[in-house]
Amino acid sequence: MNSAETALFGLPWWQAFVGGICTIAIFSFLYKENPFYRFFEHLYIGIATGIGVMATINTFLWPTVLKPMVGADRIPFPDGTYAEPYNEFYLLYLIPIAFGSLYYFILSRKHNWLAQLVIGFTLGYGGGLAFKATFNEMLPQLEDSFRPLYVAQQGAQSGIDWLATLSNLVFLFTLLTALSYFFFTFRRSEGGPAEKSALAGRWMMMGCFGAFFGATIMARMALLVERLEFLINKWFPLFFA
Amino acid sequence: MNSNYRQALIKAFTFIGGLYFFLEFILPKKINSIAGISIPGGFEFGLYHDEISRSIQIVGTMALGLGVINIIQVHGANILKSKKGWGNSLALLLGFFIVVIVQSIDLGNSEQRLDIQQEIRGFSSFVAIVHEQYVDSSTPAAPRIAALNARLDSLRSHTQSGDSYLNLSLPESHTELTNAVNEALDNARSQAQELENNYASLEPDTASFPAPQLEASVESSIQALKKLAELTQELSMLHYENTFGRKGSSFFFGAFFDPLGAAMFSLLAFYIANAAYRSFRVKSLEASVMMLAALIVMLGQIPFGPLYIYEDMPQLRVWLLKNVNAPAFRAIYFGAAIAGLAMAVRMWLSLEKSPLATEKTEEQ
Repeated sequence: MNSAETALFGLPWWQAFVGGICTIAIFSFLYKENPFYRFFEHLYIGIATGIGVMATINTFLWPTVLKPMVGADRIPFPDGTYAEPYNEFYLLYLIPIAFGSLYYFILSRKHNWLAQLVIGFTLGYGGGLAFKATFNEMLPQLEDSFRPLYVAQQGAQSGIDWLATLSNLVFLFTLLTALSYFFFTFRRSEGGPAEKSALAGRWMMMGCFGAFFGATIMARMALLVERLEFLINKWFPLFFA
Repeated sequence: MNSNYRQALIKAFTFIGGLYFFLEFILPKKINSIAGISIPGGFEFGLYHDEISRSIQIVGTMALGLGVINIIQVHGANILKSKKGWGNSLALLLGFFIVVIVQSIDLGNSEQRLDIQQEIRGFSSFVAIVHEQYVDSSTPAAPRIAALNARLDSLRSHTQSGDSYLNLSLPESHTELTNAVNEALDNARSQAQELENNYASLEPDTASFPAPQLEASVESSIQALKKLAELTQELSMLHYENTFGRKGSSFFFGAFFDPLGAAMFSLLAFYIANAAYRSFRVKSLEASVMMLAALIVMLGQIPFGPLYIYEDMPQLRVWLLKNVNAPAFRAIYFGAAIAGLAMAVRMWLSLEKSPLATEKTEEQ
């Protein structure tokens, strides 16, 4: 191909070519597991790991930790001065760096307990953070769940807004029955209201799972359609253009 | 160290790890008194929240290398011992190292561009600061503005250099930008020269200040330098997009990472269809409810539903998601969140057996 780029959506032809091979390699798994698939699967893991590692360095470690520590984030002026003085407090980041480095003692048989210090610290941090995270997420949802069972018409019309009222009723019925399904504090009597409520909750949860399942199928289908569209409109024309 | 002390130390670190965030959650933002004793000015507990959060993030980030070491150990051993599938391990390691090298080069290029861009963006602040210090403390300004002029001259030479981010030898399609940068550079240089002359003429006798022409000259220099910064940003970005690191990174994203990732996840479309067949067979009332909900969600999301089945299918889908899916999921979430919180407290207080503890450490 003479041109450096195909006329197909401005995608470089070699990028489209390699992308097509990668896609077909992964789809070959639909026939059966094969070396072609395994090779590209491993390649993907390697590249994804490299991208993940570099993303952490590019977006966090270098710009927010190392760069301020060495003073490279300051704006230099033409007369040799800087827009702001060097902040030596950034050197305090050496403490978490040194503490975090204890992770590597996990590789030592004799001193691996040192790694447990930092692992314990991380677990404890997760525990402490859970209070804030749980309540910050749960309370707004709890508050939103208190819905009126009578919704009046808005504006000039008077009377009941049937759709909003019905929606709120269904919402509360689903929430309460689904909660009752997970209520194991006392034994449910056979055919009693608690058991009936739990059964209704199970049906409502089935509706929820069905909706989730439908949304998941659609998301996967969208990815599949995108890949097929790529192969048909961008990759195959490379050979017939 | 005695193993009991070790265990106590690990428990203490676990407790300390969660203490800050627990206190930050329960304490008021500002504490004015403790046990009736007033604190002058009050005590703000979360004053260094960002720094503490970042420090904890750093601790977690340090574990990144462990993953890399593990990958190298496992796949390096496969290659060295020529185990079955060693070629795959080689592909994995090659993919990893090439991406790391290319993205490191890209980081270097990006930093070079940022450095020069930051410096040019700082010129206008420099002029403002020089003038402020001249007015406030009669700090000589002319030599400092002369340094700015010298730097502008050296930037002019960069416009001819092939490897500079300010190189103006661009294809004809960018003539407009080239001319605009040239003009902005000339304008900034002449304004700064005028400013230098103004300061130089005033400096032997600073008592003649305020000089209205000086204020005007400062303002026009700042505006010219801001314009230069704006245009050079566009120019440096253009050069950066053509660097080896940037192109290499885009290549790995566009040719490998995106297609492989999308294909890998789209594979699930086939398996999920299989799973759907098995779970949606109408064998029970629950399965029927599940199938009906899934159908409504799927048909409401594609044009087929509203076009051929029911016009308000998308609205029905939204209603189902809002009034059945959301509360049912919320009920599950409430239960899980409370259980998760209980678990978190047990872990924080070291009441839970650590998943990382070996039999040996448990005995200790």
